[in-house]
Amino acid sequence: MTFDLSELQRDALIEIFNIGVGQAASSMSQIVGEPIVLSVPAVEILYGDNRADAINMLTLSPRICAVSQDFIGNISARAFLIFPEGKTREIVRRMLGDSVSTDELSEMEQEALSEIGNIILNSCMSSLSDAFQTSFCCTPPAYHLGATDEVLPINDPQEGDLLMLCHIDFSMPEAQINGYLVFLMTLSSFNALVKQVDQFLLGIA
Amino acid sequence: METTDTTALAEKFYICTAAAHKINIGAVVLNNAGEIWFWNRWLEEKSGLPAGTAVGKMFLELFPELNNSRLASAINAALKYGLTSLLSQSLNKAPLPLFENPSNRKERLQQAIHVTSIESQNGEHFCLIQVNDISLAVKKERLLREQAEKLRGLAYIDGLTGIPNRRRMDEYLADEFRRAARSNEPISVIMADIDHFKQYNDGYGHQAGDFCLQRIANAIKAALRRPADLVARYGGEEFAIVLPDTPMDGAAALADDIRKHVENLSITHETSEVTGCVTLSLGVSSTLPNSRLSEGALLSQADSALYLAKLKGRNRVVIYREHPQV
Repeated sequence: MTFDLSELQRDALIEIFNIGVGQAASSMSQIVGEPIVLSVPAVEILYGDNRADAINMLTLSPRICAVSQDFIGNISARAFLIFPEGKTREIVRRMLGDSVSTDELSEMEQEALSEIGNIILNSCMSSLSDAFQTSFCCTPPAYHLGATDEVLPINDPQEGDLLMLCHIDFSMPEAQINGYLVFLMTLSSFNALVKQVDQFLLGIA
Repeated sequence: METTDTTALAEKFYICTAAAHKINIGAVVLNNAGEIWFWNRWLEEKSGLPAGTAVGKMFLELFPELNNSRLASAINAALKYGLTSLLSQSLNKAPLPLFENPSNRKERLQQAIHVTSIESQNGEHFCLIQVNDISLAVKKERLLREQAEKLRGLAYIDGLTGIPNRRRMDEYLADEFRRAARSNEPISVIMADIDHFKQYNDGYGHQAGDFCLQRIANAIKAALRRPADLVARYGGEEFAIVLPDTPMDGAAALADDIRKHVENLSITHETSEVTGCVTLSLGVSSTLPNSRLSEGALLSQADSALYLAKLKGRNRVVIYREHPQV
């Protein structure tokens, strides 16, 4: 049994996510008064044994920073925005216009990062809502810091059967980072997603 | 039976409303059209707007400055999509006009705001805005940050003379060396050492010795001309001066100025064999960074020039040359 997406389905999701992160980028630019560009160049589905590869792939640095939110609807997912730790510090401090460099993010900086994650994740989900004409409830954003396998419950079967992995490129003047959006979901949510994508494709055909 | 249920329901409604009024955060509920539906007591107190004025008004008409703001789009995400948003204090500077004392609207409260949706029984999205006053936490963090900055500054300052220490000089020289290499500019260093300082200390005592070091540090500082010039206490009675974008002749002229400044202090030093007062010997070295000289080599060249200045009789400036003649 395969859970993969066809090329067409994949392209549709990439487009929907790019509309979402595009909106997120414009609200973030507005907040910090500097041009910010976000894009999602690729989407992959990882399941079964491949999930272990996901850990390796997602290990961007010894420790990663993540912001997570749970989305509940006819497609439910636990969504994570993940960036390497050091780069995250750089971006948060640039957005806050602050030069003091302690090793750990302060409480206020963590909250700012949670908001950045919240803006990006919400924009992706509202873009999905628009495309699929469905809606989601969601939890407030939570901040995580640690090794990849500590932050992401990838190997916990109760946390979902598979994960959808989106590459995300974040750039602002003189700073560029690559991160990931990860959606952990159950098989039934994934099937619902595929069905919605197909309907979306029919709608635009 | 029906009356009991109605009474119980009315009681529940009354208690829940009273609770929402009494909680120690701001709570606003908007209906699906964005009209204020509930405005709690905390908000009445901090905004000066009574619920009677606020309820029934469109939220964005009551606060027109919020049109097109992040808060407005968070409200839209809750009403349209049912999404939850967090507005952090650091990225959103006090969006709502809330004050410790609204009759004296001096400084807005620092706010952390949560926007969530509430689904009504017929499936409409309402919006709950929760406002936390985090002014105290912000103040605390600012204080911690200032202390951290101060500590960091102290780690780079020589305790006795108040000028930068050797660690600061090493980092500064490395930074300036890279900058000079990028912009292809010369960079010079001067090493300076107080003549016969040990005898001074022995003869006049350590307190006088400390005072002498402080006066000389200040004299060197006063002789520097540009903000990028840096003097550091390098060791006991030794000072190092970094001169970015300065060629050899400029550095040598400055070194002689410093020498004169110190001589003019006329600090009596009877056991000095030089002049009877405290004097400095100085060594100067200079490079164009494309000469592939390391910053360490530049420093040791200045040091060997300083050594020559001592040999030649002290109270003088010696310029480093490839094949120096004694």
